[in-house]
Amino acid sequence: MPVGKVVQVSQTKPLHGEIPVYGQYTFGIAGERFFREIKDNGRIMGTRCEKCSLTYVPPRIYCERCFEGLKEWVAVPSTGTAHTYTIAHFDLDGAKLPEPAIIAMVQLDGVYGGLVHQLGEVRPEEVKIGMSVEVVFKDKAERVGSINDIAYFKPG
Amino acid sequence: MVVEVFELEKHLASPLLPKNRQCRIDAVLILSGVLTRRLNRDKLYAVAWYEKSYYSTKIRQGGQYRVLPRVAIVGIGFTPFQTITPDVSFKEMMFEAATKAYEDAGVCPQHDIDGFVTCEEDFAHGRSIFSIHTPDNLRAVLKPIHTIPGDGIHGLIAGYMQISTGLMDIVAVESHSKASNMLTTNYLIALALDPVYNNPLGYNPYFITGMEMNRYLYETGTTKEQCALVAVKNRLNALLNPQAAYGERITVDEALDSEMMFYPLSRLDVSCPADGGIVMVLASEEKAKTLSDTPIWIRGVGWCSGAPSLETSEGVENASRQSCSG
Repeated sequence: MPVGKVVQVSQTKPLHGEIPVYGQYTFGIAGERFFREIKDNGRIMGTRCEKCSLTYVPPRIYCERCFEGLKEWVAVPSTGTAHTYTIAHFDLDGAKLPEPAIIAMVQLDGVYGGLVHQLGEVRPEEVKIGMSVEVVFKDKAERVGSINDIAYFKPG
Repeated sequence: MVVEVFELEKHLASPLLPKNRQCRIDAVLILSGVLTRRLNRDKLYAVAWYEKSYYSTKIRQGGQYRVLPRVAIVGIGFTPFQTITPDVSFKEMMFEAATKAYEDAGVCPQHDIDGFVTCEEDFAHGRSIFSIHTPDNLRAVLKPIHTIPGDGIHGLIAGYMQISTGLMDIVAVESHSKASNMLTTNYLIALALDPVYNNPLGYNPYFITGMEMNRYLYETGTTKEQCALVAVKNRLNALLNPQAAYGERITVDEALDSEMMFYPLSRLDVSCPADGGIVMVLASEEKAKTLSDTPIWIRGVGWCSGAPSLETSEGVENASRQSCSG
């Protein structure tokens, strides 16, 4: 190459930087209703596509199969099954968690999709794919309109 | 030009032809010398035309095959792949890879190359509007260039399409990684999750890999030992590749006993990021023949993407199987 190559580590000195980017995420029509129902009424709602016989949770205002607009809302059961799960030993910083967290993809009964959340009231070695689980909401006073208004799912 | 494949098939000696339709097309070509005697004039033309484009890509459209012009890789250049590259910036890596590729292809970027494709994610470099930062390192200033936020293979396909549409004759495709400069990689990957439904949970994003692996093992009956064999095999392959960053000889037991990260995903099941840059020069059939004695012909391309939602990933898998098949 026609340029001199660096041959000493001492010659390299990166400039450290950070990205101070702040913004907001819009819940959208479907998300707004979904989280409001959890916060105010302690229930999980989905949208229904009659054409495809699918109930979406998380809800959306369009069907990802037929692309029809969805207007029908239905309350869905608070019970479901653990479609899959993992036991996380590390946090976002890459540090070891004091207690491993059980994270599951919960398929709510009768819906297409489901919710990703933590499992509680169960030991890691007891968790099985396909086990029945049930949603546990936080107390109403603590609910703020977030996915964390669900405390965890417990064996049901 | 579109060829009525099913019409052709009617005239073929079917016992000679494999059941798979793609194979049938190739068989048409191989047997065309024999078959021409059996076919009427229109069909003769079709067969003759297929013969000419023997290696051309065939896209199936409603029972018909459309044949596209051929595209070849005529030059390639890359930097060694390393765990860290504290000496060079990504722009210098691109410069090195591009210089090698243009030399390999025997092209002058300024006069010969019609367009450029680069591949990178803004955030991975702590920048935005990344396409600003790519033309000068490729000798692409004031030339058609665009940046794709995806893997290098997407860039290769984009270059392939630009040539096969006849828009351009020679296209340079660039992709690189400077992963070692990203100090909070987990946070960056986590931003790919849904900001409303998934990210507020605050998990390390590798949990997705753990969940997917668990379901995969459950559905297929694949064992952890078999996964360990993949980890062993991949590292051995890297050992045989002088450009690879992570070649090593490990045992199945070492892979199995490595630290559990996101059950059932162990430390050695996880691949590691490497720094490096690649530039490829693509050319149309006509140009490729003048530039290279050994062009690498691209026989075909195909790709698909899933939905962004973790929650409907099962449906997504089905959809992708359909769109990727054939």
